[in-house]
Amino acid sequence: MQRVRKPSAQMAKLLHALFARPGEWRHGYDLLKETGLSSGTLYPLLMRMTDQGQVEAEWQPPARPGRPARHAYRLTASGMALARAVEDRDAAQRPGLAAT
Amino acid sequence: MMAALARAAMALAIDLVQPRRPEWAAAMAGEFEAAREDGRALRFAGGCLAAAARDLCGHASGRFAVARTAFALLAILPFAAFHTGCGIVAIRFLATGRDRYHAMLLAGDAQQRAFAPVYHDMTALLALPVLLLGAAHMGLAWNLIEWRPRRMLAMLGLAALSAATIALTILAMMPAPSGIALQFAAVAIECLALPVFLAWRIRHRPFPASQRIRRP
Repeated sequence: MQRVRKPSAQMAKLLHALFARPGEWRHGYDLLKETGLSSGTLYPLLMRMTDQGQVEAEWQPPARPGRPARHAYRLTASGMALARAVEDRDAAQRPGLAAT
Repeated sequence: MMAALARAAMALAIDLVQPRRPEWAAAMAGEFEAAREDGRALRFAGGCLAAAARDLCGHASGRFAVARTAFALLAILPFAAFHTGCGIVAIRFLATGRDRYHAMLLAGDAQQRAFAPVYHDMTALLALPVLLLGAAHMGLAWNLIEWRPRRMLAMLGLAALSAATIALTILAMMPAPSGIALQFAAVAIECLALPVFLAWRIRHRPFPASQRIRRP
C-alpha cells in the first residue's frame, strides 16, 4: 500500500472540499468560504498543488459582461488518489470507527 | 474608505505577484470581485497581500526588491525629508523674516547678536543647495526602488555636489562650523550602500552569463 505523506491541516481541508464534489470545477472564493481558509493561505496552496499536479485549473468566462474571467480548480487523478488516501486515513483514525 | 483600501491592497498584491506568477495574480484579481460582492473585500485583499509578501521573500529577486525598498524608505527618505524641511524653513525665513533661531540670536548676548546677520546671509545662500540635496535624496530613493542605476548615480552626484556646496559655504562663513557632518554622513552612507546593491544585482542576474548581450 502506498504510504501517504501527511498533508497539512489546511491542505487536508482543501482536499476534503474538492473531493466532496469530484470532477466539478470550483472557484477559489467558493473554496475559501467552504474551507474557512484565508486567501493568503488558499492561493499559495492551490498554486503549489497545481504545480505538483494534484489540482488542475482552467479559466472560465465571466458570468456577467464586464467582470473578469475566473480561475476554477478541480482534483486531478493523482489529487483524487491523495484525497482518497487522506479520507481513508482520517476515517481509520476516528475513535468511533476504530473501535468497530 | 474601506473599499478604496481593499482596492489598494489588492492592486499592491497583484503588482508584487505578477512578475513571477502572472496566473496567480490574475486568479486573485478574478476572485476579488466575488469577495467584494460578498462584503469581504478587505479581508480577501489583506490575505492576498500577505501571501504576495511571503512569496516575494521566498526568492532572490524578491529579497533584492525588499532590501532596496527598505533601504530607500528607512535610510534615504528620512535624509530627504530632513533636508527638504530645512529648505522650506529657510525659504519661509527669507520670505517672512521670521525664524525661531534668528529671534533667539537677536535676543542673545553681543556675540549672538553679531552672528544674526551672518545667519540670515547664510540662509539665503544655503536655501537652494539644501532643497537640491533633499530633492537628490528623494530622486535617489525613487530610482533605487525602481532600479535605474544610471539615474541613481546621477542623483548621487547631485547629492554630493549639493553637500559640498553646503559644506564650503558654511566653512567660508563660520569660524567653527558644526552641523555639516549630517550632509556628508548621508552621502557617505549612500556611497557605501549603492555598490553593495550593484554587486548583489550582478550576483543574482535574472539571466545566465551566456545569454547576456555584449556591448559593441
